[in-house]
Amino acid sequence: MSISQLHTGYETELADFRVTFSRGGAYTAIVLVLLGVGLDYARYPQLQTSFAVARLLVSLLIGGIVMMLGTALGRRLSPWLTLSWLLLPQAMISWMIWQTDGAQSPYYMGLNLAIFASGIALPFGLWQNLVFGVLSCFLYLLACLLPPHGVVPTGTMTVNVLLLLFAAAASAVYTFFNERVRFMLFRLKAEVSEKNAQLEVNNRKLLDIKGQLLQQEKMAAIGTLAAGLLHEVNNPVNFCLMAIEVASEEPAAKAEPALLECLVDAKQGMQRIQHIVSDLKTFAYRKPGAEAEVGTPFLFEKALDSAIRLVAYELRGVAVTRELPADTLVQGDEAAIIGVLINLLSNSVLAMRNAGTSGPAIQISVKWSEQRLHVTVRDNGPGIADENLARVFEPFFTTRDVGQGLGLGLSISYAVVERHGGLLFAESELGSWTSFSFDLSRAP
Amino acid sequence: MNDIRQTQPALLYVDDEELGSKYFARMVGADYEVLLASNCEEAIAILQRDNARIAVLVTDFRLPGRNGGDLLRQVALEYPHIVRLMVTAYADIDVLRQLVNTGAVFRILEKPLRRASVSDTLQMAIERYHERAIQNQRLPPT
Repeated sequence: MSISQLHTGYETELADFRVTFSRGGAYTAIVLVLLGVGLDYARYPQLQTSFAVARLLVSLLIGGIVMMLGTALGRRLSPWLTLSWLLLPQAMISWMIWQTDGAQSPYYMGLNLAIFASGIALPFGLWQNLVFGVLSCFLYLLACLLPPHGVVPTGTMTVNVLLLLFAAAASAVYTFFNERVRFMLFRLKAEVSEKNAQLEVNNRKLLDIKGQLLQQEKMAAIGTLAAGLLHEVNNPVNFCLMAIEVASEEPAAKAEPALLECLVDAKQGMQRIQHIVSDLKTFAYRKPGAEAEVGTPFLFEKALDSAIRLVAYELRGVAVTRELPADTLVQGDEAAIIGVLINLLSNSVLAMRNAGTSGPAIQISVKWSEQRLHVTVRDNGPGIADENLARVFEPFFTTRDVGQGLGLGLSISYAVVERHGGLLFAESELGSWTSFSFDLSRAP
Repeated sequence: MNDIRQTQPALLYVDDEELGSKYFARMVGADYEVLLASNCEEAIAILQRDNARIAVLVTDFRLPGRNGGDLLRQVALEYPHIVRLMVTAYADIDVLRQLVNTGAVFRILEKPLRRASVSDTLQMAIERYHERAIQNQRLPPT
């Protein structure tokens, strides 16, 4: 943050501060002005009544200014309003001095008190303080010099005026340093909050990186497992299928429909196993540099088939409907997108299962729009509460019980889609439905 | 019996999966004589003995010890008249691309092997073998 920005921020913050302080100061002034009847009683009992009226009047005027401070206009003019109410007691005291002993009156002390108080208690600037001091002096001089005071005791008056000016100078200097300290405090506060914001950003990044690392490790583990499985399962599947084919051609099998039926069923089962294994192939042959994979063309429809097959067990009893355009050639990391689809599908199923949704259904609709394939996976499950909807992509955020997953799935899916230049977003109506949508770019 | 064998071109099938070899032989045994090997060393030994009557070599990619790609390259150098096929469940595209582009392999058969595609491919391989044999006979201009 630059110094000028800091100053702007400081002024804004100070505006509130000034209004509050001015109000507090004004209340104090009202109390002190009213308590001044004690002084009148001790020193000028003969003028008690008229002075009391003056004190009441000044208190009411200060009260009026306090009310003005509450308005928007008053807020903007707060330094001037403060100066105005500060001058009211000064004018009153000067009037009292004029009414009584002029330069001989001890009431000039009251003027001094106000000058000091303004410097210490009010967030006044240097200039405001000086102006206030000089105006107070001017009022005091008027009170001393105006008739009916014929002979002015110049010595006493000079001393008093000088003391007033000293007070003004001292409180101005005090104000100046006070202002600097206040600004420094503000700057420290600004720095701390800036650092805090930075820390928050860093923390979030670290969480993201942690999630991604976990994901990479997971993908690598799946890859190793898939490669092993692929080889180990494929070989027996291979010779079983060959054996079944050879058996089907035997005259005995051809002559016996029941036997042939068994062979056909066995073949179908083997083919299903083979499909599952070949779906895992996408994970087994992932290149380590996933960035390069983002530009590889693939058919989204095939990825969707694979994903549905891989979660087929969980999807049992769920009505899955699909709506796809004829051409779904997109570019990206097929295995990662299959992972995203698996994540969305199994989240849906789990939510519907936990909520006991009757007639669970998942609707997958895919559309082209502006050279991007938009995919929406929508269920008729319990939905997501508004306060959670914004947080579902946060790493480690989960509403499931401990041990039911790390809460990383959606944050990783979000990162995967983001890496593909798309956006994964969630919409929901609590108690009715949830939908997750993302987009992929068309293959060149 | 012997006469038929003489005219029938022989295949060499290399696979470490015993049952895989067994059913491959059963699947195509009616049309071709099938010699079996379970690794590269066995395959080389058979080739040294019988290379004259072997028309086609079919090998799995994943073998204990040296892999099928290695075997194909060696055979391409030492017995170029044998048409070479590779069986794989391994969609290791880079290895396959290299094998195809260096001419080490004629066709690739993908696991699981299906009777129809195996027959077609073997027939093409045999045709190829005959074409080559004719070309080789013509080589010295008459």
